[in-house]
Amino acid sequence: MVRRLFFSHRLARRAAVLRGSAATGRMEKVLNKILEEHVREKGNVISLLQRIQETYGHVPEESVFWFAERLDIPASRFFGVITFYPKFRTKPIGKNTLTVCCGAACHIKGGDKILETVREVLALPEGEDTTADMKFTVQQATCIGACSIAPVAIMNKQVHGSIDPVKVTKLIKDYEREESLGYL
Amino acid sequence: MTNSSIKIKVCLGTSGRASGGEDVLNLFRQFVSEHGIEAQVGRKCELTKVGCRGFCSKDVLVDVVMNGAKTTYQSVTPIMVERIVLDHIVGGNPVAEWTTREDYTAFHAKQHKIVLGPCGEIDPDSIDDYLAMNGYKAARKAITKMMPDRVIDEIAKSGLRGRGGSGFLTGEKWRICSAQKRSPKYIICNVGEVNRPLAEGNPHAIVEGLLIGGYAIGATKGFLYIRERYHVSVERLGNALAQARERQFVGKNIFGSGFDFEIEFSFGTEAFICGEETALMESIEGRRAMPRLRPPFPAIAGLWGMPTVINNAETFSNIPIIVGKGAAWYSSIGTAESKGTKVFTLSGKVKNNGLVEIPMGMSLRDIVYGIGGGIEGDKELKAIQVGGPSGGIIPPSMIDMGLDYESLRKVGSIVGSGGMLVFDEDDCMVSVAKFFMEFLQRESCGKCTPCRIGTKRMLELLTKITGGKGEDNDLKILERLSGVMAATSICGLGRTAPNPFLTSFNHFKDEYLSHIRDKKCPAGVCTALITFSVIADKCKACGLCRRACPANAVTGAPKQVHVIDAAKCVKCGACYRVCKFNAVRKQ
Repeated sequence: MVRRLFFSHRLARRAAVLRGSAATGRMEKVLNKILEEHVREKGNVISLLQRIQETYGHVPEESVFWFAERLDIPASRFFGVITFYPKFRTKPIGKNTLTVCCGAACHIKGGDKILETVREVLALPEGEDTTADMKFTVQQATCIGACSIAPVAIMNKQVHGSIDPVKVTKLIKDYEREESLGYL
Repeated sequence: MTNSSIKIKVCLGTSGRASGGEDVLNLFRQFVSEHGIEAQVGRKCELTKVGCRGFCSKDVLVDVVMNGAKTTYQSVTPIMVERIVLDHIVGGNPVAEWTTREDYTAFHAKQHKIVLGPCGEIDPDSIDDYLAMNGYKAARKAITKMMPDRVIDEIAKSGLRGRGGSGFLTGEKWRICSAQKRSPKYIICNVGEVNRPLAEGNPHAIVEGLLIGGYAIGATKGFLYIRERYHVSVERLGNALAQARERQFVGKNIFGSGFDFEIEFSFGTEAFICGEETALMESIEGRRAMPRLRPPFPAIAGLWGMPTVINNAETFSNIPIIVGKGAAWYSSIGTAESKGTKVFTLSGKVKNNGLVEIPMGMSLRDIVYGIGGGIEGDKELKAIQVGGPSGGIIPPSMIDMGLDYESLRKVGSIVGSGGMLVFDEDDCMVSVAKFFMEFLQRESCGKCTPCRIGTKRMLELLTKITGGKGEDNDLKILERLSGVMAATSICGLGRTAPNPFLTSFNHFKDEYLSHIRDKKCPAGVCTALITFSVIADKCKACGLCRRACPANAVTGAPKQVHVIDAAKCVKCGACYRVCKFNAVRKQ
């Protein structure tokens, strides 16, 4: 894994250098805006990454090299931060995010079964967190502080408490149905 | 606010919202205005949202205050709104069958709500509500009438200790920082997951506490460090901050005293290690959250190398109360060494899950059986874990111990984040220890070797034991690793990581031994160690288990005792759950 990541970074780096700023041509406008904000608010690597992720839903690798060059910060520092915090992701995120809490209180009330069910319902292969149609991304959280209504899952920003495999399945199915009807 | 107005308060804490509190509130609003209820009863109806009042298992909770009497409804759903309005507000007769029961009264009877008091009473988005209950008075008193040293003396005299981790005396911490000559100084409020209800129920208290702290140590800037994911907390704290700024409680020349203080947000990302002071600072500075070596302590060289104080939101929420009511009043609560109250999240297998605030020194029995109402399904209490993932596990034999910093340390636990998790007879302590180790191993930042490798090795050994491959020697290695980690890790995460194992091993040694020697899991949790079989006498040959089995491991025919083929069994437990005659044995 580490090896693959390393090589992909190196390749991407080389590609970025080869293609110059054209590599991020379409992004350039957006990134410039982020850069402006970043400079104005005297941000740091984390706040910058947070901004990028807010815009794209993930941190595209090209954007990291783009900023690394302009801010004269080694790209490795960016990737160091990205891989440290579980929240940052380099792969695109699905339209809906379902976060399952895996904290202690949720665990002893059956949180692991919820996660299992969710992955099964969405037919996620091992190692993937997003469905192929990009409709759902499944994430795990470590205690969201709603222990008294454990186990909990968060669909987008809505917290659902005291859930069980049946309820969480229904939740997903409801979203899928509403989506197919064009409500979402 | 006139006395004759009717108040309807809907709980919109995390759990209230999850249970549909917003719909309930909106429906109340809609119903009251559409049917002209105010005109009908000739009084004003005030509809407000309030923060968490703790009794989350019966959310949505709705208070109706009428003629000075308060009626609380539990588990309110939108369908119930019409009847509550018509019967109670118009007709004057509370809907008795929907009001809270004895468990609600018992839940609150033994608590001592200082910090949580206003949550559930005031609208968290309204500074006027907060001002009406003497809000910002303490800050005004401190900033205009007291010298910074006197503020620190007051906090020191109150005996308040940090509510986050190690329980360092807050006054002392502030004194060290205030003695530093260098400036600028910083003050940081860490809003962790357990502080969410405070941030959502009474955010102004946190802002006020931070303000007083900033004044006391001579800081010019305060940070609210909060996980981005806590949307509601961020929103309400942001709103509180904006309102405070508007009234010039934050900004330049506060209360006309010439004291300038700015507060800004610092959005953290979820990482357990950020509960460690110096790791949190690294994170604010934009790096990987890895703790720094100390000394120097943050109070001397912290954020960007400058003197910094960090406390969590619960500690800061206590500050206005201490300044307002005086150190003597505050220190009358609690025990000799631990003063005041502590908020705990009571969860797990207790009847009343929720947020509780107790005076320091209250016994576990009072909390679990008094406030918590006992164990779910009236099962047997097996253990209680206090202090979050790295807290120790306390057996029922110690249930009469009082909770404070010292007593918890004595039993190998910590006050920590204030988590309180109750286990019943169906929980396996080895697997619980493994679960926590899994969490800590994942959250270990990797900076120091004892923690990075220790958590990994301990997890491997615990997995080996729950997987049925444990040997006697494993326990010895686990104990040795624990000792090394506790002694040599550079921060609290690594030092306390062995707690769940050590305490559960101390008190539930038999359980560990039966996993290792008998290859049995007494609680029937560890799948590798359990087998399912049919008790021939009890089997009625109904065929339920045969149909439920996903692996076709059950064979049998009508009027013939069913048999489970151990070789085919995938140990999913489906047969055990569906059997109506308790004829399936789990061992």
